[in-house]
Amino acid sequence: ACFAAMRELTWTVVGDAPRASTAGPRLGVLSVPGGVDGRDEPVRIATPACLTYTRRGEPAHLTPDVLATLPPEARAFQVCLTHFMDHLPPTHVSNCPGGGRAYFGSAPTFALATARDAITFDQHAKPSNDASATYVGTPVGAKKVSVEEYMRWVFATRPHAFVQLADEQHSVEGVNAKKTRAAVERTANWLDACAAMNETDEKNAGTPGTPPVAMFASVQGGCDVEARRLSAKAAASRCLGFDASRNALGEPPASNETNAKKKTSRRDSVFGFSIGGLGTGEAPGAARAKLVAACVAELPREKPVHVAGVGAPLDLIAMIENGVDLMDNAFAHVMTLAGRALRFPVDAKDVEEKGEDAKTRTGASKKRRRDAADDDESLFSGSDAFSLNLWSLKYRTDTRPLLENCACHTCAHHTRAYVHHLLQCREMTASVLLDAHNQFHFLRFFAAAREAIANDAFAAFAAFHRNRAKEETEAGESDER
Amino acid sequence: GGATMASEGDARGGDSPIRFEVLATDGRARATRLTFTRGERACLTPMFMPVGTQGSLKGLTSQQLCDLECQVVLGNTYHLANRPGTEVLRASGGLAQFMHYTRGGTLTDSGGFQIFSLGAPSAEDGAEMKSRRVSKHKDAKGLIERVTERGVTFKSYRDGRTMELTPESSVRAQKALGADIIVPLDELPPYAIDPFALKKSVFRSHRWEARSLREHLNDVRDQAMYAVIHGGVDDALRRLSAEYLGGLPFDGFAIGGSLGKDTKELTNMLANLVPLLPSDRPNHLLGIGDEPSVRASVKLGIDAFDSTFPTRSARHGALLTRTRGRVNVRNAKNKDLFEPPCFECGCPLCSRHTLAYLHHLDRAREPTAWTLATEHNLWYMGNLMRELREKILADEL
Repeated sequence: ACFAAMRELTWTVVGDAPRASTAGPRLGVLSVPGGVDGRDEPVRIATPACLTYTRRGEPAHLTPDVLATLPPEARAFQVCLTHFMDHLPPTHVSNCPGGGRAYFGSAPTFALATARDAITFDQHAKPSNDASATYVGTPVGAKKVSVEEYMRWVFATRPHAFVQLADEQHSVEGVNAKKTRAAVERTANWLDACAAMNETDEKNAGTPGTPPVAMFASVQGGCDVEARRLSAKAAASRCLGFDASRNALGEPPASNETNAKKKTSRRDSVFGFSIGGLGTGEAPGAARAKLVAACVAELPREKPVHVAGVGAPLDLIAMIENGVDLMDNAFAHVMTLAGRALRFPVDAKDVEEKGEDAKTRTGASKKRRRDAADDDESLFSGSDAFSLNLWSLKYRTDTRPLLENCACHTCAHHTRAYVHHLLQCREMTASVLLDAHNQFHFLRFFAAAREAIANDAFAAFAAFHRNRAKEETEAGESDER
Repeated sequence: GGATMASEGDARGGDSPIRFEVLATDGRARATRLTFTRGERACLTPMFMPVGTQGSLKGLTSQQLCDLECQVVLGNTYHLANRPGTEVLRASGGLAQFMHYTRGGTLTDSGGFQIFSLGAPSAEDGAEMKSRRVSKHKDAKGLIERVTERGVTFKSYRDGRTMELTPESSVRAQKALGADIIVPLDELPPYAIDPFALKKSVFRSHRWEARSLREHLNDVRDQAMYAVIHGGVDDALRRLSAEYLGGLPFDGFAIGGSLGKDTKELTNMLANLVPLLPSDRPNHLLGIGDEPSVRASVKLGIDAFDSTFPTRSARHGALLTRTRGRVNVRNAKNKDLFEPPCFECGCPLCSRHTLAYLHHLDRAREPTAWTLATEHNLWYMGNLMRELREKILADEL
């Protein structure tokens, strides 16, 4: 059993017990069995961790040699399986010599498969209306996907972990409560279906010793706090042993008859939880935090919590505050697509080191706030507290790196003027250089968050970022006046 | 192999910006070392120069270019002067600094090729004249307004405003770009042209090139200038052009103009022309990058090539491989081929990915597919040129 355990994916909390059991920021370690059959050294990924957004299994603009310039945690991927659902069946991946995992040339150290793209969230896919399938967005349009087909893809690609197929609702106000409950119930049913197929595959798996695919249960419920709680309870109940006498949501049967079925104590089939449907229209800040807190309160704290599609730095801080362990860096990629370079200081220490930037934030005069190299003061550049807009003509002759003192590949070799030029020419290399920088910076931000948690200083870390954003916004507004 | 000859490029007297040594010869082919004295950067020929039109190889970072052991990158003056403009490039310290490509050398063209090829309205022109993206500013007359002795007046393809390119202004722009090798302004006549018009065009090119050279020599700035030999496929005109330009203090000789409609015409022309070029200076064949022509031209004594062919065809799904020859990535038979595109290649694509995967990335229109394919094709060209160099040095060509 111990040997088998070594070959499986594990996640453990780091630090003392009280922190482990209460909702709040915490450190953890995701231990990924290395190599085939777990024979090599496991890879350890510290959480809260940021998974790299991918397209068809690879980071969108980064070839393996450029990916190698990023820190090793960049090779933990979040893979959206619907990217593959275009022309060919799952066998074209699983037929790859060495199995499905060998298909991915970048050889991710950890891959978490999801059913929704973290950026587009299948905005044009139709809402599901039947119990057997849901609509997902694929490169060839909206497609109906059942649990069976989704699991076929999971087994073909053999990620280290996957999020169950869920009936994801957009979290907008005003959705019919009955609809939300139906979606929650469907999600719980599909959790059981995925678990059943996962077990079957493990028994029938071709290669002996193939580790099972760790499953993340999805917690849904839209904007409805009660539904969220219900969904979280239902997902949590699968960990502790499943009581078949209750319905999918864990409620006792409607009638007073005792159910003849015995309580089925199932193996713990849930590895972690993924809080779904976020970043789809709920108000960020307090409203979203309330939804997440409601979910986390019902979930066992010894399992990791994942949230996809919530991007901006302040939002991620709120997620970590509420006890989320795994997130994705889709925001960094969205910034790249917009031609923006991330430039916010990752923590208070970072500001001091950067010198010039530090002077600007405390009621300094308008003149000092401007960049020293800015010749044409009247150009409004569209940059903000977190990122530079490199399309702006302001950067035409700016020979500084994207971010001073940044150690990424782009800042070591290139200038703002060059990236600006590439954007203006619509050159592909612009995206490569921007992604290399933005992902590097985002990973630094996460490293700083982890350090703050380790030093018990996360509240100060969060306050720093919130205050900074507030000051930048206010200063910017006063500038315009 | 033949005797090793060293030449200091002393046609002009004084310090030359390039040092040129012939390392070995094999028949007419030769392996040489070209050193840019500024920074002592050496290149070995025969070599292939990829074209980074707007200051980048599409999809590749400058670091990847260095990893590919790319020796010289070509930039197009016409595009760069339009955007970002010479002032930005001057402020950045020149094209090489702007791109941060400092391992090897850079070459800029005069701008003439783009003006004549993007501007000409005629559909009967040969393949080298076809523009791929018609500008909305181009009307029935084309973008060229007037070609006079002074220079070319044309409409910018970007915003339609009238611009002028003269030999002097082209050289001044290239001075701002600061490339190691620059090219004088020449006139590019279409392939289908009557002999009288061709002769007039060649003479005009000669006068423009002489003016360019004079402007260049006023302020050399460690740059080398290559002449452009014209004459189409007319051997007599080519001889005339080679003799005239060979007598001027250019640092090297590029062969331009119409190179014939197929490889056979090209080789016939080169067989007559190359022996007429001064052998103590490098030569360069403009715009040729397909393998049969490259191999044939190396045998006839050409030192360097540039072309968009390997990189452009990569983006359109054509890989050049040693194992399988030319591979069309988009072909349906590649969708399940779980092997590297080429077994003998060490590029990031072939060492880590399969053809099936590239096929699907390409079908999904993921930009990473183009980057991987471009890297691969440039590896291929690098290997090809290295193989030719080694054969010449070992007398096996």
